[in-house]
Amino acid sequence: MIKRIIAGTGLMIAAGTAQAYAPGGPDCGWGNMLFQGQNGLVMHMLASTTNGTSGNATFGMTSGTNGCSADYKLTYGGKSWLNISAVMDEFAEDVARGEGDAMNALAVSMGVKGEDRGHFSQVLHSNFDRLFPTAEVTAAEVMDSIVAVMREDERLAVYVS
Amino acid sequence: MRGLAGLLLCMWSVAAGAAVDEPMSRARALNLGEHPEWLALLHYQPGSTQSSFVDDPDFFLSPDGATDPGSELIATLQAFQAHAEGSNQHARCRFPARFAWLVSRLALNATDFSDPDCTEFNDWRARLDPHSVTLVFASAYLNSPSSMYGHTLLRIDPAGQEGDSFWLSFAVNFGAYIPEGDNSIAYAWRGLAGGYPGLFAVQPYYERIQKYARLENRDLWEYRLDFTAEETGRLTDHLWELRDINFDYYFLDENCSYRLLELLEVARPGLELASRFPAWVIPIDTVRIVEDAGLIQQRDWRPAHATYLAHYVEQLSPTERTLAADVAEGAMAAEADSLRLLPKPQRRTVLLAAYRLLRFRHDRTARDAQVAQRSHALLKAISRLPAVPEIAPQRPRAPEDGHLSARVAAGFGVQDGTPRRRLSIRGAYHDLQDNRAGYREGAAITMGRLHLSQPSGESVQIEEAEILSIESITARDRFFRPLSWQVHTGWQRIHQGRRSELAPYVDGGGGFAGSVLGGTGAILATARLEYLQRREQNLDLAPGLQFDWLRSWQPGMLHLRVGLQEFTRGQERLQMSLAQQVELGRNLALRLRGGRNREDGRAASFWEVTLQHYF
Repeated sequence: MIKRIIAGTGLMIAAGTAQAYAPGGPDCGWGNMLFQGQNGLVMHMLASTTNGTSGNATFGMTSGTNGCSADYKLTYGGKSWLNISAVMDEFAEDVARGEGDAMNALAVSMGVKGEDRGHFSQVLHSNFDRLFPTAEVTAAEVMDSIVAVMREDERLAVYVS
Repeated sequence: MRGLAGLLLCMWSVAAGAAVDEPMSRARALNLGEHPEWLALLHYQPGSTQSSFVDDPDFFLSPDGATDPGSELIATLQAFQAHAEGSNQHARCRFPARFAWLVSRLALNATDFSDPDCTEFNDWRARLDPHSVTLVFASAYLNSPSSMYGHTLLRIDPAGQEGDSFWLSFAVNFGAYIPEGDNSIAYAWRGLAGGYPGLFAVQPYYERIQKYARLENRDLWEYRLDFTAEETGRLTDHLWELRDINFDYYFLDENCSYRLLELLEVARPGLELASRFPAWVIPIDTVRIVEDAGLIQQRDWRPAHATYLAHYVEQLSPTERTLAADVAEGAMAAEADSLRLLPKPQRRTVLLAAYRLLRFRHDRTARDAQVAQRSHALLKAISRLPAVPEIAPQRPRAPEDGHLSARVAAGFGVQDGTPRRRLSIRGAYHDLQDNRAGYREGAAITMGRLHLSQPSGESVQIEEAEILSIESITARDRFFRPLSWQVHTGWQRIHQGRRSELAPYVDGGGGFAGSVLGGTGAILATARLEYLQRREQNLDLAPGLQFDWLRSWQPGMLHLRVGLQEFTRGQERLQMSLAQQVELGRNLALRLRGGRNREDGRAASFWEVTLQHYF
């Protein structure tokens, strides 16, 4: 539990302070806003026809496209929290709809138990406006709000305390 | 018993100070260097003990490792015995699957070997947390010809997988490594010629979901395999050995599918999957091979975003469809009164359709502040409505249940009054009239087709030799606005009265399709470049027009096509045909086809009946 607090707090502080301490490394996309879109379409199409990876052959050592390092342990029990900056759009949609894979994956990665997951979804769903006050909200701010919302909830507080 | 013997032998060899030599001579005596499982670990070609598929010296510890598996085994044993200096670079860290295999085969004691600090490997493995394996098939994507064959990858699922947390799994993908800045024409050539190195990549599965289900709109089929945690672990260990290792990437045979089957063989020794592959490999055949081997435990379908959009739209009335499109396009606010009048569940579906449409159009473009605002407003409106369980889109027939890829057809017909026997054989894959189950309607790709005919009393002649043909006919509406297009190249016999000639050609076309009379009608502008000996200007270009009407009904696909071409020197060609497929079984059909062609004023009719068998 202690580790979890440290990890959670670390995230909050890091998001707002020096880049060197940003969770996941300096190039990690915690600043991502909703609906970033996709650039470099030509390269993307090329990669899709050869099923290949273009420019960078990844091997699961980092958490992928947004440059987040796997070395940063935003975790406990050996599991990293799902990096929502990489799935902001899907996650926002899930919260709006009240269900979905991205939201579920976040719950699992935070260690939310099976019996609490429906409740987790419900709480996030009813707090959509708080999690996503504007289209300009960043992933770090969203994560911040999630933790805050969970802390205020009797059943969910245990996962972020 | 063997373990005990091994232990005794080890004690003896340690005592004798010959820890290195003893296992080696035993390995030689057992001829382990040519053991199928060792050959599998080294990716030797099926049936060969002389040549590995791996084209990278980093994969071998012996200089002759790629051609001599025995020398590689000895070199590997020696490397395992070496003192652990530094971490991560030691052979035990680099080749954990080889180590496990040798230790078990030679009944050695792992603790007799030096124990290097393999932090990198251990962290990576802990991150993957391998527990079970799923084969994933990404189905066709309409506007990208190569994708029509589909793509396969593996997914490694962690322990304690619950519900839909597969977003936390890792995808294992074998594909070409394309240097930054390469263009797609070079790809086409190099892909076929093997110019790109093939590499394994491991990345979070959600990135693959985003790529396929969201950006490319390809449905994903997920086949959970019945591999144990131990087998999955072995696969993962071997995967680590392949990190940054180059294979020649051949698009046609040594592709993603082949490599994945090799991995499965390593995971479960004794499985023979890769050797079941013909020379020509199509990704969906991977699924069929795995299914035939009885490995599939569970089959899931993950609809693409466009599939969801179509599903929402289907649930709406024409008026509601207009509302959804208006909202998506910003002509109406998400909280407008005409929406508020709808009952809540219906309003929710309209908003979901609008949101999906908006994202469908903008997911692949850079962020636009206005679109982002509108998307956000839509989500906000959706979040105000109670979360009700949604009706899931209806699962189509699974792609592996569709007809097989190759086809042979035989029959007879009459052309310009002359009876003819006909025979055609096709390498792959699906044309517009072929049996429908498991394929996307209106999408066709043919690679390698030879069509022979024998007019009565004459010798056999080539009617058509098609190298490549791609056709895509998809209806447009307010939600989906695809282009319809086609390309063909090969040789085609041009008949003019009694005379005929086999002409090489290349043609292409583009246009639009819409729903017409219960089917799909298309109009395409075409251009054809053709070489005809008897023509004054041998090589000539013909702009033209083509009309298609496709209808799927009870017996099978009905296809009407009218094409008109006018060559620059005035020669005119009109071709009309009507074809009806009568589906008789998964791999059997009857095709009736008739029509009329006019070449420079001379008209001739034809009809034919062929029996088609897919194999």
